[in-house]
Amino acid sequence: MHRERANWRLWLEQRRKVAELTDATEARWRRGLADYVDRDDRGPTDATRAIVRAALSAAAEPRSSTVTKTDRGNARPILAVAASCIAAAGLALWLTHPSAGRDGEDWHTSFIAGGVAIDGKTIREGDVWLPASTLVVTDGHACVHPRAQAVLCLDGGSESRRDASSPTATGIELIRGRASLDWRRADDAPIRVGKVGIRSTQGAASVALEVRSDRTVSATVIEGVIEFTTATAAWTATAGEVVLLPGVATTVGRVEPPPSAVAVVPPSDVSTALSPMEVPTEDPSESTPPVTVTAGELLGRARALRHAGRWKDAAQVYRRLQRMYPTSNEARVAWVSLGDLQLDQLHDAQGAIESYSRYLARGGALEAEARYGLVLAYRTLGEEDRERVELERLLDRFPDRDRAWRLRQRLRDLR
Amino acid sequence: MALVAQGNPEAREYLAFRLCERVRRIQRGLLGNVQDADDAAQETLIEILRGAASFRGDSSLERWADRIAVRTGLRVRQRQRRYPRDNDVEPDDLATGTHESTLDDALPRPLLEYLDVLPPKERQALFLRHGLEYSAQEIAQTMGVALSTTKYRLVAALRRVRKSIRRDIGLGLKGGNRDAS
Repeated sequence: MHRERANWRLWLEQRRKVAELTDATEARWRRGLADYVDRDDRGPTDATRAIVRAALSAAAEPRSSTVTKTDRGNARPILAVAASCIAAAGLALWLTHPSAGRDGEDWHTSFIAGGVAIDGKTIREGDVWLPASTLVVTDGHACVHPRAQAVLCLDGGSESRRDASSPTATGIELIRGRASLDWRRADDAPIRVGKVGIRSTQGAASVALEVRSDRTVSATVIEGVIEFTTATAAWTATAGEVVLLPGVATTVGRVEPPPSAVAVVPPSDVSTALSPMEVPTEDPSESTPPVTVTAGELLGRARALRHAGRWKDAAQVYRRLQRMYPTSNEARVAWVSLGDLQLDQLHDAQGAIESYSRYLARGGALEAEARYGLVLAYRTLGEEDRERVELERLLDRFPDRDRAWRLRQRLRDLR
Repeated sequence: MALVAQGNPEAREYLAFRLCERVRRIQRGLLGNVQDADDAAQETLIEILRGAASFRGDSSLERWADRIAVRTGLRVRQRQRRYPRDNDVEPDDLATGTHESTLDDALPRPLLEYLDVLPPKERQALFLRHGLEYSAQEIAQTMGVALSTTKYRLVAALRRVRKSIRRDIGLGLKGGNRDAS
């Protein structure tokens, strides 16, 4: 009896101590929370600077324009996972963009990175590219919407002039450098590059343009089916084919004679011209390599599109990279990036699982991220058994991973 | 603020930098997810810059910005509800290094992790109450719910936080000993 009473007292004493400690800790926690918002113990971080820059830029634009999301210097630059709302914002950017649905009128820039100027004046996102003016990308990237369903992106070192024939003309002259034209869907009206009209005939399509040393423009069809038209002929090319467009102006205001022909050169055999209307303008065997976009450039372009919130376009470029350079390091990294994109922005958990699995088939430096992505993907699908298995593998391979305690907690719940 | 409203670039930049960290913390407290919080912070700053002309000086600049931040944060949360995301792998520069360790080293876990155990609505209510010192009435108005609902959420949220603290104490976790988990 005496012993039971002693145990009871001990239990009560322990309980009282825990309660006191809990009260004290809770009070500290409340005080901490009250101080949390007012903390000012350091200067702005990189993420803060990025947010401020983006906010200043967006606030200067008209209210109708959509907020451009930023690269906030995450510790996972490749795997930066953006909020789901960005997907909506990205879609809104596309749907509500001032140029959407107003073909041939104002060409608003929708994405700018690095030094971009129109007629010598540095521009920002949302600025208009008027007819007869010249856009120069010294470094970085610039994208405009010549038509509602198409986007023209110019790489660093490129110079291009908008058609001056009329205020609504949908055409450019690529003077130097590289550019790409991407369509989200088939388009009835072509976009003219020099004197050649280019349009997608069957759904999403993409073509890479590059001004060559002989002032002709090589157009490499990356994806989809592209129709090239001149005043007298038309020709269709599919992914992998290279079309040599006739010369364009090398200086502003100077235009080469109208094209006499278009040469289509398949990449597998550059010496064989396929087009029925062709009259090759040069010996194709001496031409530059048919595929002009490197793996690094494609990866950079995909990242730029992600930062611009254009998730589907970014996913397309990742896939293109994997198709064109399947054995490159960039393509391997792209599997994880693509998985993140599918999981977080495109809400395609099944696709994400496939992407992460493709990466894990060979492993690499991003193994932890890929395995964690798998966990999240299975959680999204509600497949708890698979999630548990992947969690066990992840914790087995990376027991000291950041916030592993929380993963273990989740694992306990699943068990 | 008049200069900001007139579009003075230096004034706008100064204002944005002055408020950005604060706004980010509020969003981090309200939303939990770092990426969502940064998106919401960006939206908040845009609203602040665009709405500078409406600042009448009735309250301090920070309180005015807080209200916009809360409104934006709740709106973002509403938008995000369909696609909740995990916060595990996001680097949080607001919760690492000296910044976090100075004030809540005495806690078993980082300050905001106790909010992470709460359902979103309870989290918002509790953060508004103790982080921004809103009254229950103000919280009810801000969140668009009845006063009784707000009070219930506050009590339930605090109970959960206490439970977490008690469990951590039971596990022997103390300040500066978090890694032991």
